[in-house]
Amino acid sequence: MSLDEFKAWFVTEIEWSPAEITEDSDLVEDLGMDSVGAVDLIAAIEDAVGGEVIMPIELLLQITTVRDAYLQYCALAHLPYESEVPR
Amino acid sequence: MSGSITAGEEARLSPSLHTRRLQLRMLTNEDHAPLYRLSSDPDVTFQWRFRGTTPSYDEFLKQLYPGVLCQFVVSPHGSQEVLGLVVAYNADFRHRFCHAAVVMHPSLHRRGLGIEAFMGLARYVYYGWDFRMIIMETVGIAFQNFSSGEEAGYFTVEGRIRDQFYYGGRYWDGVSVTHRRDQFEKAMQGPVGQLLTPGRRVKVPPAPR
Repeated sequence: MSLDEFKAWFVTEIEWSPAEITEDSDLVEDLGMDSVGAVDLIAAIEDAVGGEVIMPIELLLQITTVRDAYLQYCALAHLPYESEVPR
Repeated sequence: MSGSITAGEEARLSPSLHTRRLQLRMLTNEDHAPLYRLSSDPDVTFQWRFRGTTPSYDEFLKQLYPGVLCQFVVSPHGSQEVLGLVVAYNADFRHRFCHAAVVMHPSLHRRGLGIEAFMGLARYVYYGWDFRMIIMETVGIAFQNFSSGEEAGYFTVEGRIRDQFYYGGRYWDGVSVTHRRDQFEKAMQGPVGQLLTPGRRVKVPPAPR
């Protein structure tokens, strides 16, 4: 998925997203994301890469803008599996 | 009871203290100092029980357990790092409810990790006790960090005390919120429920120096 495709995906899949976003849109300051919105976004990105892969806290904390979310989506799609989360 | 259960039902019925990114674990003596530091962090203290005052370390410890039904330190998987604390307290067994509080390190606010920690606590509480609801009292400045959850049906705002708390140069409402058992069940069907499902961890390369 290219950045432009990711933006289109973002507007479609993220319920709280406004119709117009840019890659520089700040998720909290510009788009009004709160904690519940962050859960929606992270879950949607995890689903977009297959649903089983967990977005690590280290990557999650690097997401401030739409572009950041795209970069972490790309990272998540290509990082090797390490382990299963225990039940 | 017989019959198979779905993966979603299995996750809901599990008393596991592991969530997707976090573990809820018992407090140890080593956690007391980090929690004391967290309680006095300027971005936390006014919304936690001490409301900006600076109790002694001994006084902090004395107040850590009274009234508590269960409480857990929030840490990443495989680490003892203290990211926060979740507490269920003031349980009323006759009327079947308890109160709950979540405190997370300020650097983690608005990342969904507080909700993930709370859902882990709610699963544990609803698994172990026949409570009808979990009640949270919060300050407006903290409530705005998760307010969209009301429209999503994750909780209900039961009441507000207008301008109850002074913080950051203005007064904020006190907000009473309930998270009822049926709302927990409903939340488990959506993205919030995904927070309690296991998955695969990926290997994150070390940050460049």
